[in-house]
Amino acid sequence: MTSYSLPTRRRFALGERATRTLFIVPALAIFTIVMLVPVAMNAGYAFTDWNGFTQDFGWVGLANFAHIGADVATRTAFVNTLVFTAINAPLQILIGLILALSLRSTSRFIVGVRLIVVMPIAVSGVVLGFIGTIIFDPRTGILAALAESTGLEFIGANWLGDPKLAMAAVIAMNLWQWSGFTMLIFLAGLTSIPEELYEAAQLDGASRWQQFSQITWPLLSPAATINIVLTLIGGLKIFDVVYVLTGGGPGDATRTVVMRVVTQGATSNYGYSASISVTLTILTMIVALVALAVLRRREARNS
Amino acid sequence: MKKMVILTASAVVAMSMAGCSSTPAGDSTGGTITFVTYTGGAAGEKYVDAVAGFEADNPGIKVNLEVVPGDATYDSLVTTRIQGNNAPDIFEVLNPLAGAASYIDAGLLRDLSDQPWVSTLVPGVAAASGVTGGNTYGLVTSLASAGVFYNKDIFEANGLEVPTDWDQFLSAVATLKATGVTPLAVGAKDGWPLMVNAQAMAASDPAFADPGNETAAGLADGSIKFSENDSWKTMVKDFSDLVNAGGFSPDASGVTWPSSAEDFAAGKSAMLIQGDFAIPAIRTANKDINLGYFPLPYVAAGETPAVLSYYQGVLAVPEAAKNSDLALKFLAYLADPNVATGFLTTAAALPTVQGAEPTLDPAIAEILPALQKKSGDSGQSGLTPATNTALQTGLQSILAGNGDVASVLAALDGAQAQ
Repeated sequence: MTSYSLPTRRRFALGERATRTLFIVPALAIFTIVMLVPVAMNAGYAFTDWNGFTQDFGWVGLANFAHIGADVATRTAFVNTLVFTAINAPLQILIGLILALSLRSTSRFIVGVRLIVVMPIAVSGVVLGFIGTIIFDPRTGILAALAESTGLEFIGANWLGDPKLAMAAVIAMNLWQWSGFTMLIFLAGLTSIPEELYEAAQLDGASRWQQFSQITWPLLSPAATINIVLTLIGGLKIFDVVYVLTGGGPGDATRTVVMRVVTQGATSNYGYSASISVTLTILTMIVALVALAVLRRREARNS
Repeated sequence: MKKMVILTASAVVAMSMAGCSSTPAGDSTGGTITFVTYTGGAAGEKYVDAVAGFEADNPGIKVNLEVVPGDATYDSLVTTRIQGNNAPDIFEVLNPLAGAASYIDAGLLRDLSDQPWVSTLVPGVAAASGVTGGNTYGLVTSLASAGVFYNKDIFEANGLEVPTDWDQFLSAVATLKATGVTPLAVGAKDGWPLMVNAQAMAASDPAFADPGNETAAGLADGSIKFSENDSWKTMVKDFSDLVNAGGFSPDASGVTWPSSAEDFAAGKSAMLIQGDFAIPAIRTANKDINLGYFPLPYVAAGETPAVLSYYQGVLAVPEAAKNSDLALKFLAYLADPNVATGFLTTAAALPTVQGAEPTLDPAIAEILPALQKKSGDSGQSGLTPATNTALQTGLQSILAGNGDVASVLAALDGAQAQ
């Protein structure tokens, strides 16, 4: 029996390499079709004057990229996006860290609280944007009603109509959505820190702050690296919450780069829109790679 | 072995392609019409009613009414669906009729010139097909007007008459402001209501009086800069002056269009510059409002102000529509004078087909003489989708206090240059 079945098996057996390739192929094919090809096509369009409608279009070289510098509206969008990222990223890391440290316990109650903190991740940014309009609307908003009932006028400020407050409102909604995610990563990092280290430190009479700065924070470096890089990338790509909450307004005050990509693409400037998205992609890659390099070096020092 | 890998790979590709393949079209007697529009809420009732009537008359045919946001994403949604082999059977053209131009140039729209209803269009609408190169590419379902809605009770309480020139309008604003009433409501957060304000001004500008005027053509093709055009320079400055005079509520930049209609309906502001599609929303919010309607008097004393008019509910059929026969049937249904009468009564709008006699809202009846005397079409002031967006953003920033006349004109020039 055995001697009979062996050759049959061999006929269908593949080399290890081929087997591995075979397993990758389906995923790779789908990834190529839905991701790599469109991205490459988009990058190609960045060098054309395609309007998004017609079949024919011409190559314009780097003209679209040169226009980005001259275009006040696009420049404003880049500045807004950088401001958003610069304010949002540290806050998100800080809030995520504080949440993780205060919700370390695995008691049922704390786990329940964690769930509530994490829940907004499951909600789409668009939905969260609508929730934001319900909160901040100067006529029908929750804050407006709260201001009226408590007499605290500053709560009922024109959140979405004032350029500075609008950016604050946008950041607040984004923090609400993503701080829980940052917390999750920190929590995962915390579980990997051996309890003995703290016990030893306590025996040595280390204060809570010393325990945090000498044990927790250094050993959280890998988690911090992931969190910082992800928040930076997320900040540069921000779109959905802002789009629904303020539409980029008032004026251009909260218009982000991705929003500019969308409106330009939709107003017959597809080629220019593609060049903005390519620029943003390159910028995001540079920021992410630099941050990663710096943070990895810090991790190496800490370990 | 290599062959097997390739075979598997091509199978995967083939399978993923299969997901994109077209679904078989419905047969001629039944099927589902996909109808994409950006007109929802109270203003969209006209389509809901029309669809119900059509479905009752045509058992077996269903109309799937999809209401999507009419913002900057609208045209990309429609074109993506057309190019993605998922074309709607009917869609409402954004920024009629000028908004249809890109589709027509790209050959994406079905020529409807052979449809029976074309010969029944009222003369003005038939003439407007000149805008689309002589052929008819869409059924204009109604004519709309825009002007100033006002609360007659508030005007009376403050001893105000309907202003007939810009100075009178500004003095009415000052009087209202002085008595603590917000003169004008505007849903500036949504952007487009500011467009209505600007276009209501442009309608009376002699430079834009003729369809196909040279100024508009120059502004559209970039040969005339906005910052060098007297009409737009003056209009943006006058709008800025109106803002600085306290014409709008201080928080207007954060107010949405439904809130602005509710503010006005509730008597929190005396006037609202809007299209007549706002009437259902106003009357829904306050059925007892003593509503009046006059043309925005953006003219010097003694001149006749124009009522801003525009084509509304322009319905087009993509070449790629899978159920175009059913779509044409639906358009023919809407163009039937009896159906149009009901449709226009719901829409509170003016007819585009001969023989339709809708019961008009008293407010529209009030502005009708002025409309018949002088009207200015919204497509005649030289705005393209790009400059339109830039103007909305610019006027919004003036209201929010982070923009001025010069920066708005510069932004318009920038948008035009692209």
